[in-house]
Amino acid sequence: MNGSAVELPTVGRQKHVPGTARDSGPLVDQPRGFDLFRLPGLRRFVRWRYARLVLQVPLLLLAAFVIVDGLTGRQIAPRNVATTAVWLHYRGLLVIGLAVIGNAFCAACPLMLTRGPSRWLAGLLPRRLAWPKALRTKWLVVGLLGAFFVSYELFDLWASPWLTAWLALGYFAAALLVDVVFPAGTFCRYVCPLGNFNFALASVSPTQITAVDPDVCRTCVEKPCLHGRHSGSAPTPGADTAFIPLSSIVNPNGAGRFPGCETDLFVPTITSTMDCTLCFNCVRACPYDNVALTVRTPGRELAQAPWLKRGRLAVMTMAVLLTFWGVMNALAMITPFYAFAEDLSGALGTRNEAVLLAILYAGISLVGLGVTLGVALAADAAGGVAPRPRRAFERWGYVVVALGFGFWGAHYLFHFLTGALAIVPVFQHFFELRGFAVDPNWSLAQVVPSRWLFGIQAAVTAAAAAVALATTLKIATRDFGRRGVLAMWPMLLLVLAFTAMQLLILAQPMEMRGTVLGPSF
Amino acid sequence: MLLLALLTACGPRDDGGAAPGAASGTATSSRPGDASGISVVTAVEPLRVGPTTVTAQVSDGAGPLVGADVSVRGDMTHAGMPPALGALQEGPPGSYATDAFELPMAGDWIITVEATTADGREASFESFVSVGAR
Repeated sequence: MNGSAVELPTVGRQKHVPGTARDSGPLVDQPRGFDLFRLPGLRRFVRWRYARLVLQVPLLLLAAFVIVDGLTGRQIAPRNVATTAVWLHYRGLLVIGLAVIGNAFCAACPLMLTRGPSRWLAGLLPRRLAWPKALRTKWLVVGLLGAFFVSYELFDLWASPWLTAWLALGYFAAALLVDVVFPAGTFCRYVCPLGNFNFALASVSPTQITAVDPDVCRTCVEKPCLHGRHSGSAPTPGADTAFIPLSSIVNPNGAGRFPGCETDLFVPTITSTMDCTLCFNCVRACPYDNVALTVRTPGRELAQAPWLKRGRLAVMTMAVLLTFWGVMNALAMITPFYAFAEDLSGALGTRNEAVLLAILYAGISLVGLGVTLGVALAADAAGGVAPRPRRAFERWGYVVVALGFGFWGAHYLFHFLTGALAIVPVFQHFFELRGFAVDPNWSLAQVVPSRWLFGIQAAVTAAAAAVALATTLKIATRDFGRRGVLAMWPMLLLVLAFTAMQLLILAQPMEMRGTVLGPSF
Repeated sequence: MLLLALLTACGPRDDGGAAPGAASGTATSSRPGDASGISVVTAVEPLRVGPTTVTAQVSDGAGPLVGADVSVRGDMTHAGMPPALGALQEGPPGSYATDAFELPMAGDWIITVEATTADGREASFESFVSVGAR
């Protein structure tokens, strides 16, 4: 296992002796807030074998509408389910979900419904391959995310129902292919750009999977939350998981096979939402019903340096880049950006958008990484630490991650609040086009009055800045003691500067063009 | 999967070969008659955020069409913005216009003019315009 898992001694199914110093208490610092599974009926629902399927089916149906309308419907983005559902609702609900609950969209991801076909297809292969060691990092995801954002602008994906449908189809195919050839979970952890976007931003979310009683985990031999289990009256010959008799299950949730964590997270050692898809496999597999979904302070993990134990530099690089790619994504919708792009085009003597976008994204990536590293080094220097670029970057980068959450959240929320109700006439139009007697009500669009939008965006920005400031203070006092009052200042200034820039960008009148040069037609 | 594979062969639906408009200032587009025999020449002037004027010259092979119901709709190329809607009033024969058409945001707009003639023929014409910031 790669990452944060602490290798526990195999102590057998011995009874825990309370109060002993070495084998009691939490294995890591996990939040101890309210367990959401204590809400009436929730634990029972999540423990149910088909709980995830219930979450996935609605999104699968939506994906079907996206693909059908994208391929066969009217190719006008605001009137098509594909472009409306994907670029408006998916993104808006994604950030709302991350802010209110956690990685809800991975929890309901319909791509994982390819698990059945992938297992069947994998059975036709001599054996599943191991994911190459060199790719067991987030560097591939960094590249895929960059390619996605450039493609989004280059091909005007937001304006093309047809390409959006193909994107969805391609996603299903990629998930199927990767998880046929490689172990289940490979796609989520090492390939999926959307999932990794969620993983990074979920670090600010207010919930986290934890162990109810870490001592129960200490004495657990099979670790079913990680490796899975099968239960029944007798072991299944040839099963790939440990057998735990039904009579030993606390709050039994049925016989059969219960897979463990496909991204190699061990519940009592989880300190981060990174790689957690909220699939709740661990909840169902735990024979002791000992898994909680714990409420925590938003951004709590950012001050705990959790990625030092899982992913390290690649994860931090991905998260910091996401912040600045978020800036670019918003910049590309305001007038000054187009003027700059025209100037750049003139200076370089090219109107090739692919070239210009590559340069623009490379530029903002370098600026983002450079500013983060430079300020982190300044903070370390103020704290009296010798300059070690990688250590400084991995220490302070979390502050920038919090800012990124604010930027993406404010931007996506703007679009969502501007047009979320349009999903009603868009679906009406879907059926109207196919012969149903429906008259779309195109007046439905905005959720809140336009004059509220900037205030809401500013509130999201301020909230993210508050998380970033709190993270800065905690890191400074954690790592620098009394010198923390000096070490924190460079990052505090960065937070203020970034927040001011964000508000300035969000205050610009939007020009919903999205292309670098000229109109998108 | 088979169904989806079949659907992929369909390709994007042809919406009628809309004509691009000017990048700023005034946009005029025209479409020859389609199956209904109706032709429309559309103009949006000025191309700016806020109220603007849309005119449509509607005709068929026999000349200008009078007594038609003509409406205009603006959609951004980006999903999420509510459409701009307007009804055109008839002026000189075959000429319809409204000055109460409001484009609330800069960016790319798809302008759709729909005409229903007195004898029940219907036609829809699309053009693209790019509206600069104020």
